[in-house]
Amino acid sequence: MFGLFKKKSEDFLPVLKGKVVSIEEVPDVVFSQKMLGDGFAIEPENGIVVAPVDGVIAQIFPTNHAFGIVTDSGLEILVHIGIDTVDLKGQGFERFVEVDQKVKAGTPIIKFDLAFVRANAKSVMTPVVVTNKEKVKSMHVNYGVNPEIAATVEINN
Amino acid sequence: MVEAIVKSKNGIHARPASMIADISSKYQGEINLYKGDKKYNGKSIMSIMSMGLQEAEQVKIEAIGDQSEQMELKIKEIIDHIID
Amino acid sequence: MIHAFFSTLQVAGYEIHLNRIEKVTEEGETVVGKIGISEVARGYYHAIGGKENIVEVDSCITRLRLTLKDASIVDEAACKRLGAAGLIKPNNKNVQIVVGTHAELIAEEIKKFK
Repeated sequence: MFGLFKKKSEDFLPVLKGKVVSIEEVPDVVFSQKMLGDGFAIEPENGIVVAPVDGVIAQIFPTNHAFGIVTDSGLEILVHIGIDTVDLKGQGFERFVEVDQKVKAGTPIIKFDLAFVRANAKSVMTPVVVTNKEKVKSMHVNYGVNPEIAATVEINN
Repeated sequence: MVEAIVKSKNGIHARPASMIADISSKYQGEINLYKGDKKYNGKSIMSIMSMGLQEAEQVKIEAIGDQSEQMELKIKEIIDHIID
Repeated sequence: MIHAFFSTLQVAGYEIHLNRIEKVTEEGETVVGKIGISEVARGYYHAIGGKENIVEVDSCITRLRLTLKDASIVDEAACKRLGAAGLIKPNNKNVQIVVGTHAELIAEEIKKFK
């Protein structure tokens, strides 16, 4: 049974508590113009970032402000905490997991100091983007405050 | 194969990674980046960011296909010159 | 070498505006990266023929004002890739390159290469 059927779609949990908004609202054109891919963003109320899906941690940027997770179904997902947060050089960010670790949806990945980042970075808005566009057949986002499922992506196989 | 030194103070984070991936994706052949012996896919933002390249770190660029030397130089120049 | 860089960017749909790299999209242009002013200046330095061709470098608000041994070898396409709005050649020893409000900054950098 394992590996015989490829998942046709993935449900994304909200990576943070807060409001799910359109990626076009992100104050950075690299995200708002979907240069990295399509997705959504969260205006966070808290600072514990969880895995949106089951998958393997493909990368955590050395400054812990962004991570990538890959699903068995082949989606490559980038979670970028805040905007221009790379300039904080890791201050206020802490990781709970390591690269190549298998995680379940909802597993805490990174903790960050919301007040500190809000005060010192361009924005705390956190985009979640599927970076391998060719795998995305369609994406449906549930906008609003704390939806159970933030988005559903149908996968091209 | 050519070598480049990362100029960007913040390393190769989302912004420069997206530019490298964008330009690499237009190449019909393969683009491989090497940090030490580890090989990464130059067309995938995820793969590029997972290199975690910091300022002044060295990266090797390999293009396999038509006009591979030219392509290697193109990618090298981006890494050598982009400061954010 | 630096020629390859600016040419690559242009072919891929990026434009240089002083030290900003902007991606041209349907909605307009958006900033996606930065380069150093000295890189831009080096691009102009090569485009105007380098040390062998430069007699004098000056600037006036938006223009580089150059005295060259031979103005005909100036690479206009390369200047455009660097964000120049245009070139003016009053005679074959003088060139003015309209680079924008940071002409003085660029001129200062070019002088460092001489």
